[in-house]
Amino acid sequence: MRRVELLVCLAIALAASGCHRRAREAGPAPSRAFYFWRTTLALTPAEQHALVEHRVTRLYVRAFDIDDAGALVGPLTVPTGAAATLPPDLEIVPVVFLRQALFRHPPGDLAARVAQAVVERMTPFGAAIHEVQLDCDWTDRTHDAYFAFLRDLHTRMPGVVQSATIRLHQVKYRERTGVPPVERGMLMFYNMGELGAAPGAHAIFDPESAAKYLGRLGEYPLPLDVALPLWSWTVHVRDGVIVGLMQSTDPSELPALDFLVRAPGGGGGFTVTRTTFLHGEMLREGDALQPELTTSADTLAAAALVAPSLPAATRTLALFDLSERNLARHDSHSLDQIFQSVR
Amino acid sequence: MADVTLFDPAVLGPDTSAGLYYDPSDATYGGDSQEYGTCAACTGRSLAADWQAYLQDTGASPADITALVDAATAHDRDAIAKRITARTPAAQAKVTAAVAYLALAHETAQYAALEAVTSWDEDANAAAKQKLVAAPARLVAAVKAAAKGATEPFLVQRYAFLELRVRFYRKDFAGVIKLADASLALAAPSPEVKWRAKWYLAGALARAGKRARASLELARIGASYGPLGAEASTDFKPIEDSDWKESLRLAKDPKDKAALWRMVGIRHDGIVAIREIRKLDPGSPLLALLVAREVARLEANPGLAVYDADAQKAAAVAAKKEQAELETIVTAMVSTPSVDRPWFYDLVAGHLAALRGDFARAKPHLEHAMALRPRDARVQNQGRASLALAYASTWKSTPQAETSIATALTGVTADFGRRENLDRTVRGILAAAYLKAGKRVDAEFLMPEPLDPYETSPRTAAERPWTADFLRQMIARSQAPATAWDRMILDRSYTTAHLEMELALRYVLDNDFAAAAKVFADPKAERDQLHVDPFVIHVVDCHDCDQEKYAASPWTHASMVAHLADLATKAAGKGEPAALAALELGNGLYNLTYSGNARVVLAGTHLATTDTRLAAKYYKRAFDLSSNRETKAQAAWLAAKCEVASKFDPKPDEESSATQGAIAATVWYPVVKRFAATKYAKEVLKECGWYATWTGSH
Repeated sequence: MRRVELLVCLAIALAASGCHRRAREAGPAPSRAFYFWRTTLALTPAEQHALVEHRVTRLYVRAFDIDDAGALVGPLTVPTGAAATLPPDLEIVPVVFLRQALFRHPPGDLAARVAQAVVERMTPFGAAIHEVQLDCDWTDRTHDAYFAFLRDLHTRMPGVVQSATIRLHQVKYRERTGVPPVERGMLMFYNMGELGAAPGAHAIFDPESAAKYLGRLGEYPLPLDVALPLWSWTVHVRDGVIVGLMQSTDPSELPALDFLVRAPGGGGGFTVTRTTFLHGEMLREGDALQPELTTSADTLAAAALVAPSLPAATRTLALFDLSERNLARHDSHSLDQIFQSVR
Repeated sequence: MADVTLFDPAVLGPDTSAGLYYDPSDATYGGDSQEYGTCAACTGRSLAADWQAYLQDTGASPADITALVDAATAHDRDAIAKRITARTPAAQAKVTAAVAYLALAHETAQYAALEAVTSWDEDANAAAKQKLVAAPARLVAAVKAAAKGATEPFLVQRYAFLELRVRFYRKDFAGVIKLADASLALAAPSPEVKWRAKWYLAGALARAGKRARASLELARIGASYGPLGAEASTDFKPIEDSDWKESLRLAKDPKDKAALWRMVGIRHDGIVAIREIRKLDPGSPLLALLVAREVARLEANPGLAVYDADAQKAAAVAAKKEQAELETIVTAMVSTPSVDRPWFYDLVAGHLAALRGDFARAKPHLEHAMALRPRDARVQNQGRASLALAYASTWKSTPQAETSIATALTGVTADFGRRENLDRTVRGILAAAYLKAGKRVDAEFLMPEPLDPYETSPRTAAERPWTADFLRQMIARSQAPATAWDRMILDRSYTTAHLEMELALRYVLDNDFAAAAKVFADPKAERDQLHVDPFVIHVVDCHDCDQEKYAASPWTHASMVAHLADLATKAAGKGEPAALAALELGNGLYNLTYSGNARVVLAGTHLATTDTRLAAKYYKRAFDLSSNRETKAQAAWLAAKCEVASKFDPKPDEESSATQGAIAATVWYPVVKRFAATKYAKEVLKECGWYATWTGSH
């Protein structure tokens, strides 16, 4: 089924279901949040404006990553004065991304090091840390060590709410993967489709794939916040094989580039006509670039899919991620609609 | 890489890689490769060597020179300078001048960082933070003033370089660029300092927003000065079409352009780089490293480690296409008149043909390469290795072919960097061919891996467990190798001694204890200490407890077999002694199976078994022969354990006791129950919960 048709069907199905069974009672309006995923926290005026305009109360920032070997990488840089450009009531939530391979072994003193580094990273913002979020795609093979780390971290950061990102497979197979010992989960309602080289592949948001994971959402034993996708990317393909995901290449840039021509077949892709560089990625003559666009309609469709499966409760709706490019693609009215869509 | 590839890039020589050989664990170029000798430390060594050469005529010892250069404080430097007894006043002045320079160099090092470094090491963090303070302006002035007094070219160059560094750590990037472009002093005498200065220039250019020229300077460093090649490659980051086009425009000649494409080849795309460099200069010496990297990349085939079957299929097709393209390129290079190191391209062309099983194309290339470099051991090794691969890939089971491949493979010396993988690959291909041809014995010798009997994909060509007849064939084949082929297949494979030990154990399992003992009568038959007592038995087994408790047990294969033979003789008799012998014989046989405490005895052979029927047979005999109710109860219980084991096919990761307990011994549990009044049966009831459950007593 074509994607557009599927979205239409989805909307009809949702409307129809509202006619025949009692609609789920709407919960309170969610708190509004963005993820900020760059490594230097310097907001542009447009980004600052968006935070104020949409009454965003929380910004999840990538504090640092922990690599497979347990080393801290890519720590957030906060240029002098940058903290002062943030809206005064905005809560900063540090997010620590942990590679899951790290937890193939006991975590040792990782919690102590992470607790210390989080405090150090958040020092420029002044205010006390209210919540810390741990982002790890743990599995049934690594949950023991990961959960032990979470428990340890909890004792080292008393009074700080601990949340963990929850991927859809961890909801569906929770008996196998376990439920993390944290206060809240952040359901990542994206990266659900098949990552493929074919023009029709949708990895960021794919309603067909998403629907398969919704069945058990309502019974998940943690209060869930929700993260929805705003971003788009370009898939770099060579001889039918994905050679890169160009995260910093917005599909809208592609038509203007003189070393690209539209690929035949009307799939929205482009062919590289000469070897060159684009945002640091080397493109070989003959390579294909396949844009994967997340429109506001997609994000709204994601919200419409996930909302009915969640219990009515106080929660945060976070959009991934805050950037000028994403703000340009999703206008103010659309963002407002999206923020109101999950309750 | 040595585990997954068969072409050893060290054929180009040990010093040419500069740590830039392909390594799939590194997304870009491979970085510090221990395998080939990294050059990350080369630069430090070069700088130290410069100082040794400069100060050696002063009379200072090499140790004092090292200490002087490394000294962290003025006090230390002065102390070392004082203990150097200079030969002449001029020499003394040289030492004094060096000390003055080193004082400024060490002061500069305190500011030698531009970006924050975060580490778990608090001391490192503190040191890094200190370095983030910009170098003071007075340091520039001090360096310039000191430089005016320097007359020796060595110090003149170093002062110029020091000024460059101070400016860099003051973030005076325009000053760095201006100085580097204008200063003639930077160019000599030390090549290390010259290229380091260019590296700083590239850093300043990138930070000043002149990325196109930065890329070009880095490319020049990479192409011209190996010791800084890895660092230059790391920093080479063209971002957009505009700056890449500008880099190409700034390149003043084909050599510059080739250097730029070489960097592209190392960081991004080897095939494209090779194509472009060939257009510029078909004989370019920059091509060999890129070709070696591409061969390694194709052999390692990281594309196959992708997400799903369809993608893997696509990756395999793409890899095949790239291999064909590389082979076309190197074949063309072989016949290019001006080509650099033609033997190398012959080797690669032959190797690529061998990889795809094209013997007719591989052989002439390989033989030609070897003929061009008759005294180059690396070339000879790679040529023979690729030739062995070519023979194996197009195998014909003839005496002539056997001799050819044996000559090629055994001619590869132990220091060939891919020796282990070569043996594994070639012998694996041949083993499959011999198995297909019905030559099971040779196939086994070619792939002499011990078997894990519980592995899902067995690696033996013969049926398991091996039969006595098959073992006798193996032993016969292992003796008196007559041809090169015989010697090759026996090389690092099964030995006669080991096979004899397996044969003895086979006889044990076949209930022929006398034959087993006879094998061990030959002192050459392999025998090891078992580190367990194979005759100990329990109501409930505890494999690990026995392994620990009886680790020092003196039993060997030979003494165990001798005792089994003795017991068998006694068990053939009558009355209680025969019953007790049969019981103990049953214990020994039970313990050899997967259920017993001595399963390790068969684990390293092709005989490992879960079959407890022979042990059960002797327990039954003990039960039948004995008139002692305690002995009968024990024999019945042990037979029951055999019965349970025979109903259970354990998997390696499963805990056998829990699962076995769920299976009742329908024949022997009722018999044990008949002896419920015996001390032994009461013990069973007490120790074995599953039995207790079965009896309804639990």
